[in-house]
Amino acid sequence: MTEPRRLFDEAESELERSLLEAGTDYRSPIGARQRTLEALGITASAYGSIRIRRPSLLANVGGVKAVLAATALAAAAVPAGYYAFEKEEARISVPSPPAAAAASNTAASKAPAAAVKQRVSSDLEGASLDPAETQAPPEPAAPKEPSFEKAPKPAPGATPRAQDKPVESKPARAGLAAELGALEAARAALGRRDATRALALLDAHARDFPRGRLKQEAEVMRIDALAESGQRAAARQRAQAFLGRSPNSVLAGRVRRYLGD
Amino acid sequence: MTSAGTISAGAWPRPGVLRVPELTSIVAWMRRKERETRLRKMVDDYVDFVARVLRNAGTPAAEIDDDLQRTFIVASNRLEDVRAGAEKSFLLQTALHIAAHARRTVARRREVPGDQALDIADAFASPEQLTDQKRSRQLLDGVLEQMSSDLRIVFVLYEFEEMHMTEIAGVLGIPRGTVASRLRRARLDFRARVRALTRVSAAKVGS
Repeated sequence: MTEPRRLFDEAESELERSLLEAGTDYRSPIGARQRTLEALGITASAYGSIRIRRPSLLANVGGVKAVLAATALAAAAVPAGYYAFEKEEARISVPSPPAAAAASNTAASKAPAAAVKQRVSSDLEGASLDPAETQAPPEPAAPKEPSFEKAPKPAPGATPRAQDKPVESKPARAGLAAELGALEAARAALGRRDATRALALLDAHARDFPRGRLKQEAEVMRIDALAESGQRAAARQRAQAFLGRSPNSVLAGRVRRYLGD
Repeated sequence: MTSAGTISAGAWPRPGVLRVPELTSIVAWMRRKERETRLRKMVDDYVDFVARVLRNAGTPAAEIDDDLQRTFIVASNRLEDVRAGAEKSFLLQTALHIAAHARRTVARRREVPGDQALDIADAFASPEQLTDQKRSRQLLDGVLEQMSSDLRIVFVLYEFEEMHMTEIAGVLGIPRGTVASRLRRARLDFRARVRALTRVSAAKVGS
């Protein structure tokens, strides 16, 4: 079957040609790629860039430390990415500086970059780093969220402080797979636009994992599901509550965008 | 900590010895990395394509950024449903859906439906400016805005995205014959409007 030639190839006037050209030549705005990646919670450059959101705090941080932070984060590469994931996914609190130091003693030979990163993170305390960009949000654990404390690797001979004790039993840790499975099922239902099913699965998740480590993810999914099912008011209300509770969560940007719709 | 249930980490991201349950989170981490890699590639490969489709399908310039993000967020939420190799058509369908919403919003905002061709022509200063890129874009927006959305989408996909009629039929879920007839009408419509613009512009310069 033949198709007609494109109009551009047989434009009958300069005006027509320029209009057709304008349609073909359009490119995304400068920086749109990066902003889109950020919206998706993906850092634009693998483990690099770091942006301080509140410039007024920049003075407290100091240029040298900022450079150090960028370098450390870049050097942290894969382990840093994994630690970041762990923190983000499981709401692991960033160890306080002494704990971080203890951890770094143990891990120093194998993961110096991660240790430096944690030190730098504490240096940068007070500055708001964009978690989506750093991949290693140095935000403290949200105090109100039922959080799961990461089992630290105490230095040999070091006395772990009470709060550093692994609060999670083995069965509970193994429960992460089950929790992940439950949420994936909900996500798949949402993917099929089956909001009712997704909400039922999320309800089941809330029942089965009252202290679940993926509660924030579940909550964001619930907002999506409510919106999808037409319960926009409820979705908005939950989105606002989410932001009130966890304004620094890596998922907060996504929720804010939903509210901005 | 007992040694039971421990395995050597080998090349895993975390150095040292891993307990079996820790593998669960590493697997989840890897899964997320995989997701991220796929999404990043989609953005890299199609950000301009999606932006162009959105723009030509009716999203105003000021809202391109937001709608780009919306499109990719939808893709991210439904990533498991996007077949490998079908990313472009998924993004296209999503973008068209979002642009349709943008068009409706713009239509609602427009208070006085005036004679668009004349409004646009008023912005002319001289025929030389017609080749100015920004001006061309504005004029194109004006012309496309006046086309019915059915014709506009087929026109945009065929003329700007250089898609085949069969592909367009697949994306829009309509028979190829319908695509062909819409394209024919769309081209006549487009040409007529551009001619009208040229006439108005010439009259204005001549007056």
